[in-house]
Amino acid sequence: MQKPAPLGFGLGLRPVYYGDILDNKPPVDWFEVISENFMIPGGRPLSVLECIRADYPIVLHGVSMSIASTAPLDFDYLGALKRLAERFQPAFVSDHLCWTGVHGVNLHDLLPVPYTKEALDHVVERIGRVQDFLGRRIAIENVSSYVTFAESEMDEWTFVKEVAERADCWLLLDVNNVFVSGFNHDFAPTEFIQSIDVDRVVQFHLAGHSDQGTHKIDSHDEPVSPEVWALFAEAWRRFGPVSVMIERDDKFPPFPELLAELEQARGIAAAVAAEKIGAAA
Amino acid sequence: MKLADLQAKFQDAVIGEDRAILDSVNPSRRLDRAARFAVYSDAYRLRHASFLAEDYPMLRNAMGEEDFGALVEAYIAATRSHHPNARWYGRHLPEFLTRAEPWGTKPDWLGLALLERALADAFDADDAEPCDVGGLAGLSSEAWPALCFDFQASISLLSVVSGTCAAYEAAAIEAPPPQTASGAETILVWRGKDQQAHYRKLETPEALALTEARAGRSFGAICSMLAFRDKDDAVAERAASLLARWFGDGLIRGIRRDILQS
Ligand SMILES: [Fe+2]
Repeated sequence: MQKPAPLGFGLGLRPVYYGDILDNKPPVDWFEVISENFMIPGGRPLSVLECIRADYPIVLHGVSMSIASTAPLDFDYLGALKRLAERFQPAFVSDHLCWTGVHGVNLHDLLPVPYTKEALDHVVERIGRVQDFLGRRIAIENVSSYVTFAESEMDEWTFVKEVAERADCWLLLDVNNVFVSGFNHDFAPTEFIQSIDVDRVVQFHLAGHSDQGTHKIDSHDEPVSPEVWALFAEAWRRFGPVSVMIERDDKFPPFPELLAELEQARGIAAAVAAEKIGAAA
Repeated sequence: MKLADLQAKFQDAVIGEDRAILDSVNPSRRLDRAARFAVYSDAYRLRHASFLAEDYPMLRNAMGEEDFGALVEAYIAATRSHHPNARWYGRHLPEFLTRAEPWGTKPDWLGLALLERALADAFDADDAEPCDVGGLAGLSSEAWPALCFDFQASISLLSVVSGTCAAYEAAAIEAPPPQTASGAETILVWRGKDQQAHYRKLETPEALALTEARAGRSFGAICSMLAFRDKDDAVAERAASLLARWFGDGLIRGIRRDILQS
């Protein structure tokens, strides 16, 4: 099982930054694209993506696959995703370990899954069908959650690990989500990270969260927090090098601030690599 | 509980008042079940409200926070998203305005809502290369009457209450809304060659000519219609200048000959 080659250090492609990217060709190794935003008939977003794709690798990251939903798989959606992938040739395609609705409704949220054997079988079976349809392995991301269910029969990390192994898919490890869920559900983020198979993880997400005192929310509207940087270092030690990107979806700072944050990620990764070389010498 | 039942209950609780799902939710050390679940139900409302605020910024300015907030709340209570892209969630807001009290009695708000929806639709409508006016250059004058035109998918022609364009422009600078007159105005919305959505108010002859042209009528038929309406000798010149403007704006994507006339 050959993991896709690491793409380096990337950012999310968001409309507020189209101008910065098109005008300045910034030193970003790759861009992550929200697939659904480009499932539109035409216009500027698609032509901007054509331009950016000419200069950078991209990853298609979806929010509506609803892989854990008990609603039937949406093959209109998957067809649109497949066409998008054919057109833009992403390095890989990812979505979340969650559901977004049932009965034909999309709640536009990444909703939590009970960690049961039933849910595990269900998700594994659906990832298999999606991968067959798309003709490629997909990467599945752990989400932030704000509730746990009485029905759960295993830890989140056991569930995630089993999904990847049994469905034979990649994992997108969102380091911030591990931290946020760890706080909300009182588990040690380290235990999560150390439980996941190294061979499965092809990408990391980094992002900021908001602290509500009683709980944390995966808001993507702040810089990456010091605790999440520390967890990133630990994750890099275990899984690196993999593709990394920073998600920013609100309170958008000037583009150079995101570049500086990306430099911080590069610095930490380099320090961990140096540490490994030092230990080996 | 089976996964399907859990998801149905979860969704019911996110959207509505039913809290049967709470039996399955564990409390945390710091929050009880209801407070934990509220993260999802609160976020649902905020997120859908922000979809609407993004799509209808001028309507929001014109209505003010209180009225717009009440409209948004009512719309969210009545409307689910069925599309993977939230971009289409607010598409029914203009129709909702006409049906729901007390907003149905405000034609100026409806005009703004229709204009903003048309601008959003024009922005990501289907692509087609606009046709250059040069395509007409070599044609003899006998060929003109039989010409028909294919238009861009991004175009809409809105018939709205008079003063809608002025109200839109006032809302854009957060100025008080101008007095709306009675009667109607026609607004053309389209995506230009610069890939941005544009609008302009049409005078009656252009509105009629464009309606006819989009319906597939030939240039000759449009001239006859204008001549009949205006009893004007310079009709061909006026129709040609309208056509030149449509080409200039990038509205036309193809030229055909009307087989019946040629
Ligand atoms: Fe993420």
